[in-house]
Amino acid sequence: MRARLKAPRAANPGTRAGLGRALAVTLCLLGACTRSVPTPARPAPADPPLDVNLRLLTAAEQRRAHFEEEATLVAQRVEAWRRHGHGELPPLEASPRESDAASWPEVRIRNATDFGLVVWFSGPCPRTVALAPRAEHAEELCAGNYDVVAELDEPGFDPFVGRGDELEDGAAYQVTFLLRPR
Amino acid sequence: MKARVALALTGLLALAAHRSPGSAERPDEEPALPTAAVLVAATPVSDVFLRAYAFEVTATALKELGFHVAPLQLTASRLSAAGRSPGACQEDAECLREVAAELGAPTLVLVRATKSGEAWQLGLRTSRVEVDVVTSAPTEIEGTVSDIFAGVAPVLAEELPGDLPCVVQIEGPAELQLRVDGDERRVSAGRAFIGPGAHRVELRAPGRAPWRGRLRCEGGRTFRMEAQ
Repeated sequence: MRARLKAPRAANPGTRAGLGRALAVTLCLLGACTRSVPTPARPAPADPPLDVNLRLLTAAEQRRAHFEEEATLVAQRVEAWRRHGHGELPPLEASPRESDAASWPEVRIRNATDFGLVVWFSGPCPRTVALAPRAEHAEELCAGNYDVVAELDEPGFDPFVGRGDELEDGAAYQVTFLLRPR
Repeated sequence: MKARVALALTGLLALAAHRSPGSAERPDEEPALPTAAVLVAATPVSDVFLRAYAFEVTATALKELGFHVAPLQLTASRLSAAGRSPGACQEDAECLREVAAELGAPTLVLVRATKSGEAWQLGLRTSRVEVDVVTSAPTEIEGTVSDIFAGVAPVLAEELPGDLPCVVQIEGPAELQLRVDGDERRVSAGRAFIGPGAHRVELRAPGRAPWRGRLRCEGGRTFRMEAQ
């Protein structure tokens, strides 16, 4: 014989519904009925909009982003060389260029040795230039004061360190590295 | 035999001198050039000239192609930052992505340089950083210093032109979230990368209504989003 299971009855559902209806009618009579005249929900305060300026990065910003930190790194290296054994690099000499006095200074480097050469310009537009043996290179730098360091790719040579070369707009400079036996 | 280096300095230079292209002459207010970074892993590590020369020839070729190149010391410092080995970083997409973000350079040239006497060897690969990091197969260049100098430019000229990725540089309140074409985009070191073409961009910040706009990535440009 099977036992029949019954779901438990809700406690007096009819009574509850009746009470609810009576309460709603009472509230409506008191003017608080919300069913027929709904009160609009109060809007949440709007988030202030994000204000965004979208534009292209300029060439000046691009250079500045890289050069400022590069200048610090190169200056640290130059200072480290200065503290150790080194030769003195004589100051650069300049002469005005004929065509464009407003152009940026240009430095031509000639490596007349049989070794690789690395030249460091520590200043407002820092630069590291590497030249193969017997190679030449011309570099445009922005005007300003530069410490120049040259290092040959051969053990036994101390680096050469200059101090405070002022490079001016419209000027050209040249430096040639030669080896002379002692 | 120890010799000494003598220096001859003259102030005169002909105007027709060969110049290093793209070094600093771009007018200030023009849009920035596409940015590339040259990541050099040199063996032996202590060879300053090897590293500088490998960088120099690669950077010169990139400038000829119209790129702004992140400078040597800055790049080297990022590449060898705490926990990074230049050689290992070249094989690690996550490391490449981080270095690219720190330098704002979605185009990377990965160089492995070795030298034994007069014999040089350069392994060149290019990487584009967008949603993924895509790296080309290596091209080997061997020979003397002159061979290396002549060999780099043609390789890069073949691999790099075309659609370049762009950079979105973001400044503003903390916890900014960038969405590109509906997908959240990772922002690292204040920068995100997007591929060529037209995009819908959305910038969100907690407690603020999002900003929505459009941008077109072409020519490897760098966009700046300043949020307030």
